[in-house]
Amino acid sequence: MLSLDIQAQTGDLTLNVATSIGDGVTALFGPSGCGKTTLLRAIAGLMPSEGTIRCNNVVWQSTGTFMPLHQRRVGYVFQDDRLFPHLTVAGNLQYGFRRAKAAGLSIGLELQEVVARFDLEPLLQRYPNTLSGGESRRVNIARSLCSQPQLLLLDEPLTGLDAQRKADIIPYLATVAKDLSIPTVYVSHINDEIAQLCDNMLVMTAGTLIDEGPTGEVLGRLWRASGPDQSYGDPGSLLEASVMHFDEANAMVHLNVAGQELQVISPTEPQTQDLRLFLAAADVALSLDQPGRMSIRNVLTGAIVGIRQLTGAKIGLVAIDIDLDAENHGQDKGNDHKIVAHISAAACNDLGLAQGMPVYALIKSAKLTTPFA
Amino acid sequence: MTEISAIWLTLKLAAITTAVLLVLATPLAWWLAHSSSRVRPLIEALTAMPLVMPPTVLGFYLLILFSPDNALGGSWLALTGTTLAFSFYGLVFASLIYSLPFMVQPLTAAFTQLGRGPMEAAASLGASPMDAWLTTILPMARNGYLTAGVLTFAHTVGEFGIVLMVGGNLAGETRVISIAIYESVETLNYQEAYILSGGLMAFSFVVLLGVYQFNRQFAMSLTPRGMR
Repeated sequence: MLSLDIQAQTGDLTLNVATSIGDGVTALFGPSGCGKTTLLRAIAGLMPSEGTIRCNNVVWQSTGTFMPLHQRRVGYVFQDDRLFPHLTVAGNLQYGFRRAKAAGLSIGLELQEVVARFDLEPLLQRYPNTLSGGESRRVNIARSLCSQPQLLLLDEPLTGLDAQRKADIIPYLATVAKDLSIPTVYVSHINDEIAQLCDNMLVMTAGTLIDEGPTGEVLGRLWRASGPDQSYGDPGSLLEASVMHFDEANAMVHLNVAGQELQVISPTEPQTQDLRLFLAAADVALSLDQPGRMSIRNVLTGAIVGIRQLTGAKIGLVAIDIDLDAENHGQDKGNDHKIVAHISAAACNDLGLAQGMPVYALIKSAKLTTPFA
Repeated sequence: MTEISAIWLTLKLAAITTAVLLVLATPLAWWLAHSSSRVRPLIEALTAMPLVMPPTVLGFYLLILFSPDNALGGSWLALTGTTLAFSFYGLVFASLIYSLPFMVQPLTAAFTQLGRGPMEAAASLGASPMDAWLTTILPMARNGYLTAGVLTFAHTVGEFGIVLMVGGNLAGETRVISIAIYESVETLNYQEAYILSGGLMAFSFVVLLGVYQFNRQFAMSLTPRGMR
């Protein structure tokens, strides 16, 4: 458990953050320049800050005391590649491992285990300048674990990688996050990664936290509310779903969402019973009548709980918030099963949509994401 | 045999100067590369002064400083019983100042280029600052060190004006190659001048060739594959 209550000033940014970060992965999310990296550097002690930081009941800093980074035991994966070019991959991994061992520190991670987990055996004798971008990220993350950290700070560890490489690395990160019960702060501005990796989420704007909580809830609030600037990513909704069965012949997984069935294409059988689904607001169409024959397989029923005009780049569109729990009868009760649709203002007028109306939501596509928790 | 003693003396002077400067200039260059202090430009300018000042000016001030009437010359006399002026150690002292920028500037450039990244990464892996410096910055700055060391050595080998001012021409004590060449020409001993001058020129060329060759290989070894 990491507890912090810190203030710092750097350039135009005033950092003022008080929160607690538990075991597991916590996403730190926010627009560029909002102070995410600054917060990580302050936590690591690389950037001076006022206030208190405590990790597992060890005071890292408070009035009159300051523990430097090498004593804080922070595994830090920097945004840029910081492998030591004069050491082989093995040398890089051993760097922190040996020092932790010499100091008698351990969180029970053996070097061989890290090598096996990150599939680094073939790379051990290579020098960092011979590694591909994806390989080098993997080594960076593995190296940070070898020093037996009490806290893991990941600063956009997947930025700059193409989708394929990301897909290669995310499982590594997911297993690490799941199995090590150490607090991990994961800075990202990419939606998919957060939905897949993180239990909890901090949302930051201009140096302060504006929202925090379980990922599903926070993302739900953020994406459904995502405004014209799209600073928090594509608007849409995140739903918890459970697998009913997998139809291997048609590569379809049948899911239960709020008591309704939803089918999503999946080339392989999902590994877990509980999944997360992302429905982009633009991929949801609405109908007042029971739709007839059509290619869209997913039609959910719900009731309208809110209608919002969108402005700016999305002028002419309205966001319709729909609650899938029919028994709520249009009354907003939290955000467990709410989805958002962006439709044209003209369509909204023609259909005469209003609060409380029952609607059919036609889901053009849904994206599966795997929660690790 | 005056050539042999002059060559030996020159190499000894250059080696001692380089070794001492490697130690002294490292913290100075590190500070220059990473400090945001307001006095940094001042220190930078002072460090670069020997590059632009006529050696005779520097030599003149050093000669004054070496005088037993002054603190430096006086305490040296009290400690060793000899004067700094017109002695080998006076030459070492003068060379340290004269060659300082040739050591400091390549090191500062190397440290600046490396930035704080390696130190931060090493600290996150549990290395104390000194440990981190010795195991990351030192090996990563090796081409900076090579360039700085070679330039300092070669520059010390070639110094003339300042030696003439503070060292004079005492065989086996202060008579380095450049002074020997000057004297040979003055005494119309052209053969000796040819040998010494040719040797010095060949030496300089070989040294520079070696540095550039090494730096090329080193730069290659640190460049990601795709960028070669």
